[in-house]
Amino acid sequence: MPTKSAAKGKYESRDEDKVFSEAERAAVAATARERKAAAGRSPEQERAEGLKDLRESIAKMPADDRAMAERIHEVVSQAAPALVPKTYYGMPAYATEGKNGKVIGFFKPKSKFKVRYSTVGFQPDARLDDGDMWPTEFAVINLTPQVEKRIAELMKKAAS
Amino acid sequence: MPGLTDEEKAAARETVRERKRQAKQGANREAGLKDVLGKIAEMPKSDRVMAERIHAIVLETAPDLMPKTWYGMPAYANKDGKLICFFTAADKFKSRYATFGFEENAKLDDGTMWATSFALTNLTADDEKRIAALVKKAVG
Repeated sequence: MPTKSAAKGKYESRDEDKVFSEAERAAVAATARERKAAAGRSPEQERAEGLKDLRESIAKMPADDRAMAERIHEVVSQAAPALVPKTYYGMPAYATEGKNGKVIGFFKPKSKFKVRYSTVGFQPDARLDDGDMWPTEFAVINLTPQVEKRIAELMKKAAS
Repeated sequence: MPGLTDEEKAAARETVRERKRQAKQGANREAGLKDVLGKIAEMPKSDRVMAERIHAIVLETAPDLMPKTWYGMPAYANKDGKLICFFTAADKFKSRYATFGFEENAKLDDGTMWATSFALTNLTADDEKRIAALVKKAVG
């Protein structure tokens, strides 16, 4: 019966509003917007719009996260220029080219879920395989030249 | 929540149930253990074997950690209820690997950059040792 299922749907979404944190709800809303916006774009549009989304996402961050995100964006763009910038759950991310571009890596600012460190993470399409156990996400508390080099190498390998 | 896949919607609904249940249970080791074992039992075989082994390693290495589910995944919290580590089955997001991850209260700090999450395609004796060492350091 449609009336019953509609009522249940409403009840559940009210429930979800109470149970999920503001940060969680914001991430979900961002994802829904990203997926809707990405449909029907050409590869050129995808890159241009993705870069715009990424820059907007960075601009909204608190100063320390923003500085790190900007620098990481430079590092990644240089290390793996073929990757397409975009946002992923509202975070700066880098994906393979093409219609069904897969996210390779992302930057999760510490302000997003109010934790003590930001992370650079990789998705299953990243080729970081090393034996049967390898790191896929890294806490980053400060960007030293060494850390930048490590991130560049990881992103390059991930996109290879 | 529009714009989400069926799997994501199911995960969100499950998390609602999980948080309500946990709010009622409080910090209850038996209830948390039951939830975790129940989740492991539902996994496909390859994930299940790995999850069972990791569960045993975590509790042998850090017996004070409390098992609980987190977004439907087997997870382990410290005595203050802060999550330390968790296991994501490969099947959960249809990935080519499972992951073992750590949260911010894990004391894995090493300089200005350190690994917090690991892909697992298999669990060798060496991997088990590495996981035990990570868990030990995380609660140290």
